[in-house]
Amino acid sequence: MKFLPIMDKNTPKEDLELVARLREPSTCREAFGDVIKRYSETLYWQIRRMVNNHDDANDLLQNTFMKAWGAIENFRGDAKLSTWLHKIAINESITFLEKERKRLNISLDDEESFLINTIEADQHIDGDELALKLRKAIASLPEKQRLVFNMKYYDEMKYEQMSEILGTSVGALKASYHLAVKKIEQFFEDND
Amino acid sequence: MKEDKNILDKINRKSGMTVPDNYFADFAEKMMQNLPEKQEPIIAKPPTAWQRVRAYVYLVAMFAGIWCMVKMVDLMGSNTPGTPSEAANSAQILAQAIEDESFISDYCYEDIDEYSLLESMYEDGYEAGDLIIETSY
Repeated sequence: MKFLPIMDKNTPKEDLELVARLREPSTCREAFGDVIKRYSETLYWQIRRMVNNHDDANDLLQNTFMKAWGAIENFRGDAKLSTWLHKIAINESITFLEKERKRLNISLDDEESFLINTIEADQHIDGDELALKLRKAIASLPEKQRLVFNMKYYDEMKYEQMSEILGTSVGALKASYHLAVKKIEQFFEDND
Repeated sequence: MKEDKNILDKINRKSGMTVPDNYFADFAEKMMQNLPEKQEPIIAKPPTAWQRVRAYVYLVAMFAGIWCMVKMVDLMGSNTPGTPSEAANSAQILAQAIEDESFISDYCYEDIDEYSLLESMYEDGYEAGDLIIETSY
């Protein structure tokens, strides 16, 4: 029996076809190769903006796809494929940051300086000073606001999809983004 | 807010961080190489006819056993004295016996004497010689 994915009307046609191929044992592996090609860049930047380091982002991206591959049979198809992958990537990033905090014995109050140090040590930067300053401003935000800001500002994600990924109401996400923008504004004023 | 919006608008969203050359193409290739093979799902063998009906057969056998036990208990109960049906049957036999006069004379008159018995036999046409039993040694 062929699997018919049930997704919302906004699901791209390519995703529907991809999910159907993922459900077929004969085409599953090849289809997952297409998933990697299609989503690796988006997921990489989401992870990279959270951990601020290429090598860690690379490892976490691999873990994300490994976990997705391991659990592909459990993907029911009632959510967007991208939403499912973003959830895995965010969980991987948050878990990694928690482990790093524990490993280096860093409190939540010291996280900002830890992230700024990571940003400054990052080898893969293009030298754009304003962009670097924005990264530091983002590093000063609490974890949830940082996530919301990155998803909205960089990925230009809709609040509805963010709500599905983060499990937070649209209203709370809007408020969170608004607060994040205010804090970034304040950071730019203070570090002018 | 407006000023802040201007600050954010000034920044190129794609700038700031870089990746090694050809990173994403290489990543996809390496990822596919490292991806473990999926094990084929174990397809269960179709059940045999006996396996399909076994449960029903057991169920039927169980009910048949219970029915036999109930029937046996019922049969044993009907042969046990003292049941109402048995008492009614005994009363009927007793009534028939009382109505039969010979039954009363044969089984109930135990205190009849020898003279009365001979007299009764004479009345019935028996002679005294008829009562002598010849014996030979």
